[in-house]
Amino acid sequence: MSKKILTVDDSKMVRMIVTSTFQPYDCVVVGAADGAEGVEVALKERPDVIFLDITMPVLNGIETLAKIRETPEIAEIPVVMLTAESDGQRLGMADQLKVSGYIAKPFKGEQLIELTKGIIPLVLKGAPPSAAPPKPQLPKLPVPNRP
Amino acid sequence: MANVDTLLTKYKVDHPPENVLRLGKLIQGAFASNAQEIASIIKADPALSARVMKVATRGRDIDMDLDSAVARIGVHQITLVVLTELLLHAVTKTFSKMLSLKLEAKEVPNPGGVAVIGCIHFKGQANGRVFLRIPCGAAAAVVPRFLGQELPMEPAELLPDVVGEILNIVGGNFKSNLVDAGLSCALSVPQVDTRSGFHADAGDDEHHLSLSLAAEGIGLFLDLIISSVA
Repeated sequence: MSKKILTVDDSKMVRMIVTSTFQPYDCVVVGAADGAEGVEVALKERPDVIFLDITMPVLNGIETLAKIRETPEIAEIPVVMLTAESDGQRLGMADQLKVSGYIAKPFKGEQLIELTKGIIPLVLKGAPPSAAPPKPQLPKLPVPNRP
Repeated sequence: MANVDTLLTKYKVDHPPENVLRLGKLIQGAFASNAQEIASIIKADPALSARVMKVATRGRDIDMDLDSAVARIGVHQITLVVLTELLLHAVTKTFSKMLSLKLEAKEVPNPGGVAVIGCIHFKGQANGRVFLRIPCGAAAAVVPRFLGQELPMEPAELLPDVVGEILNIVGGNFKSNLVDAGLSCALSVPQVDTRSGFHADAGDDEHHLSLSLAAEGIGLFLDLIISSVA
């Protein structure tokens, strides 16, 4: 089943970069142009991961993250900050609101993929089921000798 | 709250480079230190020394040592020069990583005509604004490099958005450097306009520095205006 990713950024260009980065994977990327719209879209789409900018109109990224965390239906969705503001204050605020990752702009698409793979399984489009990450196997226990 | 180093390591965010930390300390100490102490810190940074000398001599061929230059231009101009270095660091880092463009500060002839102009404000213990101006021709060359793929639409449609986002990244990095230097401040959302006849208006009490950068035929212009630093 396709994974769903929400990118919340007031820059259309960044939303396009995030969308094209995940294009090779079995993912659907949805976008929102500010924090308030981001919360709305998250409630409607229930994404698997949210990428969140900080400097945005209406609700900034930290306010948006707080809103997500206090909204029970979406409170547990992993959020990754994708922002140019990476000073100690911002990192501390995001850390207290339990972010799953923090990517400082400028960024490369590979950083998004690498971090996302640590949160949800990503499968290449059209890949056979065997290309999917193997399911965890139970350890083989020694077979006791039958009498 | 966890300390900054712990958080940077936890989230694998790059630590600020040594020269940025040194410049930050220079800003913190600028108002408490004497001219000789400031000069000794500046001497450790050749690019900063060159810029201080340029400001002190106003670009003319005058025989002057760095101690005299620091004493001549004063603490406010020193702060402006240091902030400019932090801004330059943010700009070159942004263009290098997102556009694979190695910008260098150099004189660039102003082509005139229409340009995309972005402005971002920072407010708090440091107050001021940054203008980024990219002539339309250069901005059109920047857009596909930024996206890293063929454009699904005309570059012109994306020019304001791209310049706004570049300024957002530059401003965010610059602001982070200020906060880590002890100057807590907040950033506005960038405002972008496309027009000709730009002039950065600085008030009588403000300090203003203009510079230009270029690489691979792409030139851009920056203006930093500082209203106050706590």
